[in-house]
Amino acid sequence: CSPTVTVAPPDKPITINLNVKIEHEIRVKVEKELESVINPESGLF
Amino acid sequence: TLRAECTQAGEDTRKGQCTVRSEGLQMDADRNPLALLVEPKLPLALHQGTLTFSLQGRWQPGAPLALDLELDGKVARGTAFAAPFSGLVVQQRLHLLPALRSITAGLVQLDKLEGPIPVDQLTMHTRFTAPAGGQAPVVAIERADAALFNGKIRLANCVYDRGNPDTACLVRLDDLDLQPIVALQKVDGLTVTGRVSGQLPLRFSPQGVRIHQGRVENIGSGLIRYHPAGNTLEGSPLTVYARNALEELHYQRLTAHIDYLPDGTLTVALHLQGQNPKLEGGRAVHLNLNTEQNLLSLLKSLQYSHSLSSELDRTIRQHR
Amino acid sequence: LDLQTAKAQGLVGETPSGYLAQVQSGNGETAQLVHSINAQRKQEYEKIAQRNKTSLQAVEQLAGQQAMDKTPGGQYILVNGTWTKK
Repeated sequence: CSPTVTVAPPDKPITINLNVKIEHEIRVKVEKELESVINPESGLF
Repeated sequence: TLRAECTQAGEDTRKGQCTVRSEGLQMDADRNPLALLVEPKLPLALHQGTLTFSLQGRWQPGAPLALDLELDGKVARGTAFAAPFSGLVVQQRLHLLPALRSITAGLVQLDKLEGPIPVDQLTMHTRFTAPAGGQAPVVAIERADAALFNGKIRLANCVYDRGNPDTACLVRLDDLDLQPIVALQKVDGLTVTGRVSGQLPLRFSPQGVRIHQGRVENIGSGLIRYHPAGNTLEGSPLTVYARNALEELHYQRLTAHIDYLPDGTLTVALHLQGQNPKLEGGRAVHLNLNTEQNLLSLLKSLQYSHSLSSELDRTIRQHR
Repeated sequence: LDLQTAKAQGLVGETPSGYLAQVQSGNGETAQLVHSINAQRKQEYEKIAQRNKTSLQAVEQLAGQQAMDKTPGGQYILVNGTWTKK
């Protein structure tokens, strides 16, 4: 039988630091501008 | 139907009382007496409701006119803050004159508020008192609770007094579901599951409401998945390791520190301890995810997309 | 073949990517229509992305959500990789 190698998880935890800035104003503006594209009159929807 | 009964103490016209009573006064968009009574003014539109009230005036020599009001309003449907609501009950017993004061704690109940953030089964016990000097009345919320994000939000002994700033109020959150909360913020590629409880110390100041050192903690374990479309996050390059770890991080501990400023700035510092079983045999991962956003812009954008979809539903229903 | 009939006949449908896709592949004319519509959409998305100083992906993603929301009943949308009739 092939030896099974179990890798004990290294004890030191990995730390991940993330900063997220959420822009809601842009999303509202983009959604408004998309209304003229995602629209039967535009011929593209 | 309105009925008035007046009595007078014998010949002495300076002493007596009058009571005006109504049974089941119909209320609708045009006839909305509740909007007159509610101070501070609430953007409240009633579609259909009934009001029962009794107004009693008493006068006697050497004493100011006393005026008491007892009202019981039931509103089937309406809108508050441009959000549709159903099942509103308002019961109040108030001294109006010589000074506004609740005789007993008033009740406000609401079955459903269908705003961008849905609130159900709101129950609030309020007390109004008018400060001397006649500014806006002080509203004390003795107890309030509501169902929110599949959990409960509770308030106790909160005083809203425009005249005397820096009043505080503690909001308790019990067993809220993280998934819909995170989903509302539409953070590209972020899903979080699990449940949290905690407290948000509210402070009212002349500039508005703020939350200082709010804190929520996980109840039981959960999951965080974060893979944004772009390869880097705003402000912090996502290393390959971090990207893999965040594919599916099972957490046992989650705490979030919450601060909110009157201008809408909401900062949430999420600290999470867990592991990704598919990575290095499940090596422990500590994640610090600091988010900043403007809550007022979020609510406006939700209102916009919410009204867009409800507007859409309405037009579709018409054409069906 | 115009877009409205192609949609009504269930030949094409909206997807989360913000672009149109064929529900059943293999029909040349439909493929040509999808290609041309998507090219025009991409131009519009790029203009919007520039105007709002945001990424094309963000605009495409929002367009996809809006297109799927606005798809009337009876037409197809791609949900979790499978075509579903709304």
